[in-house]
Amino acid sequence: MRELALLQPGKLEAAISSQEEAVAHRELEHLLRDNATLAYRVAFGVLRNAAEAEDVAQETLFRACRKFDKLRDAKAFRGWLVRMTFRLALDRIRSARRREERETRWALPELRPPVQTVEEIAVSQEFEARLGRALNELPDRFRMVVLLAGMEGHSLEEVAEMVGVPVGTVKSRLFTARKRLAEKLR
Amino acid sequence: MSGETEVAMSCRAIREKLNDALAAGQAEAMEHGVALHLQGCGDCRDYNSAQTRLYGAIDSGMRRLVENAAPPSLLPNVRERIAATESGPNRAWVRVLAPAIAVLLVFSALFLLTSHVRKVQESRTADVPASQAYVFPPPESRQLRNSEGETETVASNHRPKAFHHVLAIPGRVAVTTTPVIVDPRETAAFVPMANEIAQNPEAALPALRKSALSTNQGEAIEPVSIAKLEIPALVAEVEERK
Repeated sequence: MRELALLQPGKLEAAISSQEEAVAHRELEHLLRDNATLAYRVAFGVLRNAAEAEDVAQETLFRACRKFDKLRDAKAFRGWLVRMTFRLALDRIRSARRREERETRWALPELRPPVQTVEEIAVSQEFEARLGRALNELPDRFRMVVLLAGMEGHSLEEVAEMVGVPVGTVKSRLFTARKRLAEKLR
Repeated sequence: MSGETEVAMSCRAIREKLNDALAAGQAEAMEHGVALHLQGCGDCRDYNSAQTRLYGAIDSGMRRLVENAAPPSLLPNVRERIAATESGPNRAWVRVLAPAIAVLLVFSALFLLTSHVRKVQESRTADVPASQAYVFPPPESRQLRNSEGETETVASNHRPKAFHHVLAIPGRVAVTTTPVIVDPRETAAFVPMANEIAQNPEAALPALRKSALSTNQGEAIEPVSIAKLEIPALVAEVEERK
């Protein structure tokens, strides 16, 4: 009797539907765990402010979840996420008020990487401030590539996939970006 | 001189090559010619060391910039937002209902707006409430009859805000069915009386009769009837006196 009941069309569809939902939920959770750090790092690379980077990463991940039907493929999800995070972070950074806040927070000691001596701290802070300014002056397409390539474990092919351009273009952009940064920091 | 220039140019070319190699991240794969030049040129060696340090600092600076761990609150917050969205109204229904509600709201707003405009227009055409049946909108014609029963031309820009269209007796015993146009300010005294008549014609009859009889001819206008209200007893009485 029980088997017969399971074969009823309505119940069968409901069972399939709930099973599909469970699978989708697991996939989504997996994608979120895999990409949360990436979104945060991209946002932080642009904003250089922990609180704002978290806001932007959260917003992007949330939007990505809402578009999950179209972004079920892991590569599509990651590429979309990186580009959207970058765009949202740029939108935020372009507000003059936030730019001022960011400059102030950039100088706060808790955001500095740990260094050994007072002299090194001063040198490191000054260099990072200059690097930050130089990075801001780069065109967006160069900045995105140099940020993604700066993250450990990203090959040029992966960067190309995330940005959505050929590998040759990534190489060329990275080359130009590094050269421009060096010119500004020399 | 030419030898010095050759060396200087050579140094410039070597430094460009060094820069390109460092920017491309291929400093190790140095050309044989460049390596040879560096062996014999202290300035270019110093330059190479400085540039290698610079590119190294850029790389490590970039790593420090982007190698941050995501804060622990990030994912829980995202999950919370997703859960809040999922526990809300069914999204399919929302998609269907939202346009319908929007259309309904627009129509409601239009209805309220038009009814408000209508009310404002009505209040402009009549100073008294609409329930008072004896008040009519002002006639379109500029040829208006004055309170003496005479026709006169009234400039539209001087026309009073609203006219009350009443029937009146121009004289002691005369009854006229001619509409008379009276400025609302002048008819203020007639309004309560006409209201009284409209509500209870028979009760108002004695007062009305007295008023009609005591009026001096040509001096004033007394309302004894209104356009849509018939008072047969009074009309008959007046007709009899005629």
